[in-house]
This record gives sequence, C-alpha cells and structure tokens, in this order.
Amino acid sequence: MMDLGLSPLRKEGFSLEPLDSGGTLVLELCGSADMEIVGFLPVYFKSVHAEVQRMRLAEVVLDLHALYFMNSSCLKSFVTWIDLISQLPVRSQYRLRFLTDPHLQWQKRSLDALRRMAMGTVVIETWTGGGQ
Amino acid sequence: MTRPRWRIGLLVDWLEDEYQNKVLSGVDAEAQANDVSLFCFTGGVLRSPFRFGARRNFIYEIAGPECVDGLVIMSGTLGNFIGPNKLARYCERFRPLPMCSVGVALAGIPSVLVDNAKGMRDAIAHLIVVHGYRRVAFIRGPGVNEEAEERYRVYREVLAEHGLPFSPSLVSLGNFQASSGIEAIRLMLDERKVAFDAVVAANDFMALGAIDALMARGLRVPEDVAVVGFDDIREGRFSPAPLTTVRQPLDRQGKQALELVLAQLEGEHIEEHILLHTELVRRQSCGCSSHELPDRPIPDIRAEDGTLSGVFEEHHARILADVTQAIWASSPDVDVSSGAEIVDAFRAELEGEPTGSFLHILDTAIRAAAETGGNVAAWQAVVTTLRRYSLPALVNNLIRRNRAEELWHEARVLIGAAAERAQARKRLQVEHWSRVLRKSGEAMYTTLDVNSVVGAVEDQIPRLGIRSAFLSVFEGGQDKARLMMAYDIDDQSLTRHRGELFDAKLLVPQGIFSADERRTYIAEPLFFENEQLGFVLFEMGPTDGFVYETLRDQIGSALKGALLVKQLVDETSRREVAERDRLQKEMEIAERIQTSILRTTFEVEGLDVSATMIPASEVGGDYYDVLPFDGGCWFGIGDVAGHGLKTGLVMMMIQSVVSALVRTNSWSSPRDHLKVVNSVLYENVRERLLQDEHATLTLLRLDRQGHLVFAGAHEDIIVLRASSGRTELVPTPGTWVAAVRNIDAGTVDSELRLHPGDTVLLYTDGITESMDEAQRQYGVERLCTQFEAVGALPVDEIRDRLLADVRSHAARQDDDLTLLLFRFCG
Repeated sequence: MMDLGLSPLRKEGFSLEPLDSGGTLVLELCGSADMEIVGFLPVYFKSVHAEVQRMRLAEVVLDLHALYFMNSSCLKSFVTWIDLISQLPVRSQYRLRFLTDPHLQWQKRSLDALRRMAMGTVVIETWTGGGQ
Repeated sequence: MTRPRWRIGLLVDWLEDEYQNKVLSGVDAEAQANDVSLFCFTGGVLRSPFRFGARRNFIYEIAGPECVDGLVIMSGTLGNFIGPNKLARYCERFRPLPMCSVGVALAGIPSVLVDNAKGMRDAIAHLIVVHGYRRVAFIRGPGVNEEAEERYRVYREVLAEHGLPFSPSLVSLGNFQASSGIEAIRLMLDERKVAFDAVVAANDFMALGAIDALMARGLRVPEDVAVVGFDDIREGRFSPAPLTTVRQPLDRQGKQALELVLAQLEGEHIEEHILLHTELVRRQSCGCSSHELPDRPIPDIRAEDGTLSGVFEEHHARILADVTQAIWASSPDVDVSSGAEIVDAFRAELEGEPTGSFLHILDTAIRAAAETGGNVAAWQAVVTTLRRYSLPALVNNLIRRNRAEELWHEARVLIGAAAERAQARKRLQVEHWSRVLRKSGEAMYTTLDVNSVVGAVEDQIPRLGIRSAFLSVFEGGQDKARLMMAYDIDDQSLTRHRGELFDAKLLVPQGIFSADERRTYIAEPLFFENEQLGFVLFEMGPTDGFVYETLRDQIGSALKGALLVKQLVDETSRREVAERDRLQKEMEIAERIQTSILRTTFEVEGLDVSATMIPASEVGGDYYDVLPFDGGCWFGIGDVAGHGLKTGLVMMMIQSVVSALVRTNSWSSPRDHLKVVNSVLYENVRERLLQDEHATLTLLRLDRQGHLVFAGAHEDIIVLRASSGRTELVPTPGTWVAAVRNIDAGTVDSELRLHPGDTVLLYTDGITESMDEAQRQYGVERLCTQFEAVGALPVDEIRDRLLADVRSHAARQDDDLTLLLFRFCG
C-alpha cells in the first residue's frame, strides 16, 4: 500500500479521486472540468508531482473515461504538469498514462495533441473497464 | 412647571488615583442626594507633557451648555502645568455655566479650598517638636500649583518659627508624581550629598516615592529618615512605613463644590471661597509608634465622685465629641450619631448591663464604615479615645478595670478582623475587575472590525457592574460623532440609535437620556497616539476609576486597529475598483485590437470566404486569418487557452508571425511554418514573458487546384461535399504551439482534396462547447447537421445562420465564437 499524501478533490459536478491500485497511483477524474475547476487543478497536479517524486513512481494513471468534458483552460493544467516533468532529470521523469473513452469528442481531439506534445511522457490508452 | 433635572459636569484629569476618586465620590454622593445627573469628563492634566497627558484634553471641549448646566473643576490637578491664571482663562470658555473650582482659587470662580497652611504647619511642627528633627528636607509640588506653593511657604515659615535655618539644598522641585519623590532623594543624597533626618513632601505620592528611594539605599524609615506626606491617600496606609500625612477631606470638597454649583443654579447667595479643615494623621513614618491616633494630649479629667459614671456624666459632651471626631476622621460617610450609641453602650456594659451590646453596636458601625469605603483600621482611635477617658476612673476598681480591658481588647480584635475582611473584600473585588478587564482586553485586541469591538465591550461591561454605556466616533472633525454602541441593560431598544450622527457636544443623540432618571456617567476620551477617535460614556458602576481608564485604553487601541483595518479594506476595495476599471479599459483596447486585426471582408480568387469572431465579455484568444497569395490562399485558425489580456496578446503574436511567414514563403508546408510559429511563441511566451499560455493552431494552405494541406492540432475540419450535401469530419493531427520547445515529432502535414462547390467550415471550441441551461453542449454533431441544412446558401448567410443557431442554444456566451467558411469555386 502506498502512503498517499493526497486527498480527493470534489467540486460540484466534478471529482478527482487518488487511488492506490496495486502500487500504481491512479487519479480517477469524473464529471465535467470547466471554469469552476480551473483554479484547483494546477495546484492539485503540482502536489501529485511532488508525491510521485517522493514515492519515486514511474507512472501515474489518469483515468478519464468518466470525464465527459474538459475545457481548454483545464487542459492547460496538463500542459503545465508535463512541463514540470520535462524539467526533471531524465532518470526521474515519469509517465502519464491516460485511460480514455474514444467516444468523447474532447478526448479524441485534445489528448492526441497532448501525446504528440510529449511523446515519451504521455501514453493514451482506451479504457477497457478492467482497471489499467 | 417642573424644571428639568440639573446636569452637572465634573472636569477631572483622571480617575486612577484615590485623590480624584474621592472627590468624585463626594460629588456623586451629593448629586444623588440632590437628584441631579453627573457627567465626569476625564481629560488629563491640561497641556501635560507626559504620555497621553494633553492628548486627552479634547474631551473638555465637549463639556458645555449643550450637555451640562454647571461645572465642578478639579483645578488642583487640572492646572498643574499651566497655573491658576491660565486655568482661569481656560475656564472662561465654559461661561455662562456656573462653576466651582476644587483645590485652587480661580479668579471669578467660586472655590472649595482646604486649609493647606494649617495642615502643613501641624505636620512640620510635629516632626520638629514631638520628634526633635532638625534637618527637615522638603519636596515641592509643581511651581504653578498654588496649593503646592502654599505648603512650601509654610515649610519655610515653620522652620523660621522654630529657629531652624532654611537650606535650599534641602529642597527639591517635584510634580506630584511618585517618580519626582524618587528623583528628589537621588538629587539630595547622591548629587548634593546633603544629610537630613526628615522629609516632608507636598503630597503623598511624592512621599511614597521618597520612602522607596530611601529604602532602596538601605536607609530605614523612620529610624534613619522620617517621611511625611499630604492628602492621606489609601496607598499611604500600606506603605512599608505607614505614612504620616495630612488628611484632606476630599469627598467633602466634592460635596461642597457640587452644592456651590447648585446654589448658583438656584440663584442663591454663595460664599466665594469655602475653606475646609485638614487634619494630621500620625502613623509610623514620622517616628510615632502607634497608628492613627488623634494628635491630642491624654485628657486629665476626673469626676468629683471619682467614679466612671461620674466621668461619663460630667464630661459626656467632650467624650462624645472626641469619639465622633475619631469616627468622622476614619469614615467620613458613616452616620456619626453611632458615636453616642457606642459611648452609651460602653458605659452601660461597664456598669453591669448585660454583656454584648457595646461590641454589637461597634460591629454594626464598623460594617457600615466598611460598606462606605471607610478606613476600618482607623476605628482603633475610637477605642483609644474611650480608654483614655475611662482609665483614670478605673484605677481603684480592679473588677471594672479588668472588664474594661476585656472590652477594649475584644473591640480591637473586632476592628482588626473587620479591617482585614475589608481589605480582603477590596482585594477580591479588584481581582474580579482585573480578570474581567483582562478578558475584555483579550476579546477586543483580537477583533478586526468596529462591530466586533462594540460586541466585546457589550459582553464585558455588565460583568463590571456598568449598566449602560455609549461609544461614539468622531466623523469629519470633532463637531460631529457617530454613535457606534448604545448599551443599556434595562433598555435594549436604545440600540435603534446606533449609527446616528449627532452633535458631539450632546454626548449622545437626542432621545437617549431619559428625563425621568438620574445617572452618573464617566465620559472618557478615545484616542490613539495623537489621533482623537471619539469618546465613550460609562454609567458609573465600580467606584475604582482604573476600571474606566483601562476600558478606555482597551477600546481606544482596539478601535484604532479596527478603524485601520476598515481603512485598509476600503482602500483595497477602492484600489480593486480602480484596478478593475483600468483592466476593463485595457480589455476594451485589447478587444478592439483583436477584433480589428481580424479581417471581415475577403477577396480571394476562386474562393467564397466568410468569417466572423464574436468576442466573449473577457478577451479570449480566438484567432483566424485568411491570407491569399499567388496561386492559392492560406488559412489559419486557433485558440489560445484561457482568457484575458495575455491570451489576446499571444493571439496577436500568432497572427503576426503567421502573416509574415506565409508572405515570405507562400509555398512552404504548413508543418514547417507551424514549427517556426511554435519556436517564436515558445521563446516569447515562456522564456521572455515567463508565461504559460499555449494555443491550438491549424494552418491550411489551399492551392487553385483544390489541394488542401494542413498541419497543427485544432478542432476537426468540417467539409461539406457539394456532391453529396453531407459533411465530413477531418481530424487535425498534431500538437499545440507554445507548450514545448520542439514540436517536430508530433507535427505532420495532412492533405485533403476539395472539389468545386465543396465548402469548408473551421470553428473554435466556443461554438461546439456553447452550453444551454441544462449544461448540454452545442456539439459538433449539431453543427454538422445545421451546416448540411444551410450548406447551399451563400457563405455569408451560412455563417449567419450557424451563428444564430449557436446563439439560440447557448444560455450565455462564455467564450469567443469564431466561424470561418470558404467555398472552393474551382
């Protein structure tokens, strides 16, 4: 079991639950991430970044299959996070594995751009319902 | 017609010392007896150079005909730094109010004075005659204080009368404060190195300071140096060497002063000056061994028959006079008629009446003395008086003498125990007040707004026995004040007056003070450093003035803090509003630049083009451009993440760079141009501006043959095929610009073939993500459906119909709305 120093982030219409899934840190995002959330995500991802380094994890799974929408301002927090990872020494860099629902237009459109932006860091997979 | 109840003001420097407290007590007692209201203004010594001295003077300016009908002025302390002449001129401002000066004669103002000369003469003569001191030093009061100067004059006279030389080196100037007593001893012993065997101070505080200074140097009082003061304040009784002093009838001064003011109001004839007697109180600091005994020789009286009954019958009046004097001297507020009962009970008990009545009557009288704040221990003088008169008649009657000794002994034990209880009660009372004041201080100092300060005051004052209080803050100078607190334990409806602006000279808004009730209020100035904040009125509860003074300091500090916070909040709000206005103006400018930089009319060979961008209320980052060139046309569409001025600026950078690139190299691939755009933006945004903006951006190059090449990630391209009337969604594989330094790997050119009549629709997420009331997005599917429905129309009309449909769906516009259409004509 990981000693997660992270709390859930719950707002109206949105939740982010940090989970220990067999030694893997999973962030499960649900609902809709719009302007109400935009101020919280960069701070949260920054604390995740610190936790990952503390626990020396090689990967964080972002389960987005139930995240029906994320606007461009919220997507920016992923860009900022990826930028933080890129500034780490190569041996300390970790992956972000996104579990997606290809039927969701915003995911199809935006996550591929994210992957192309940081090909060694971002991995996009289709959520199969069986965890990661 | 009944005249209104008189309202009398008392101007006093402060209430922390017994001197002022006792005068107030006398004025208040007389106010109660005459059913007049009293307002005590505690404004410090006029023009005092000491801390918080003159800063409090402004409260005196409020005392005037608007709030009082007459004034008692504690001139003995008020004018210590300006002298009687200037004080008299100062008091002219209060005309035509009838006035009475206490302690100092002021020209044109009736006054109540004490016989300083006799008191001081008795004290110094006692030192010289009874104790044989020859080198008597003197600590003067303020040079402008008439009372102090008279005491000094008497000192020189008495020395001369007893043939003792006057030596200036044995005289030091003081200011009535204990510190000047300490300084006087330092000056004489350490600097002048003069020897003396007694010190007389012009008041008790300086005498107590002198005792401390002497003992600090290892000198014993009175064995090495005797000390005598003037006033008889309570602290003197509990000094290491109980202080011999001259007792002023302080409360009587207060009573008489009020009587004089009332007599003027009633139009009665009055004496211009009333002189009250003083009395030497011998304790131990002068060298006397007993305490508080009348300074009279043992009476040599006997009855003709030699019996006790004979003595009490023949000399009853004399005995009663001395006992009454002893009672009055110790407890001025006690009914002295108890003296007759005490004398009669004592005599009856010695003559065989049932036992117990003497001690019972004495006990009752002592309790009354304790209740009125009298000096219980000084009742020993009553027992001493009885003993002095009785003893000669009991010499030959052993049984009666033993009985008498028993009674005296029991009476002394009774008085001692009562004195101890009175002190303990006083101490407990002071401890209680101190606890409540500590709590009120904690509550007030932790508040940050005026209402909380008021709340804290209202919480604590009932626990101090204060039944009503009114706190007002000056507004726009000192003429007007706003009532911030109206507390009355018996009338909560007074809170309705809170917030009222009123003439400060009224003390409270009209309608607050009931004509039916007589009350005594302490009016304390509220100030912080040199700033005069307002004033607070406390209905008099505790008799110790330090309670009001402490509350005043607490409220003043807390109020200043709260007002500062309010000022800060107001200033911050003002700045925020100014900043918002400034930002709004910047936004308007940015919006004008943004919208004016985007073309709205297009002339492109072989194409019908239409575009629009409807900005949201806050500047967004939508971008589009149409850049024809020989052989074709470039299109660009993108969206900078976020809103605001920075976003708008990044959008303009994109427009400039793309425009420059395609003009200089029209046939380069979109991918190559996009890589340059990313490189320029990354450097400008992330490295120079240290910002974190990024943008979606698709660049498209269309040639005359309908060959469309594009690169960069943005929304899917929608192509309406003329042949089928159906739309196709074409993804834009690639990545965003300005997010990472190098996008080479993720950026690819894609191709599309257009046929004549095909129409391409480019848009931003403001279109597809427009939300209705139920938070449902407009969506790309609806956009395609609508596009198909109106696709045969001219492009300008298609644009308008699509925009209208989006607007009919959206509950509000949160983002820029951009549509760019072009129809390939072939």
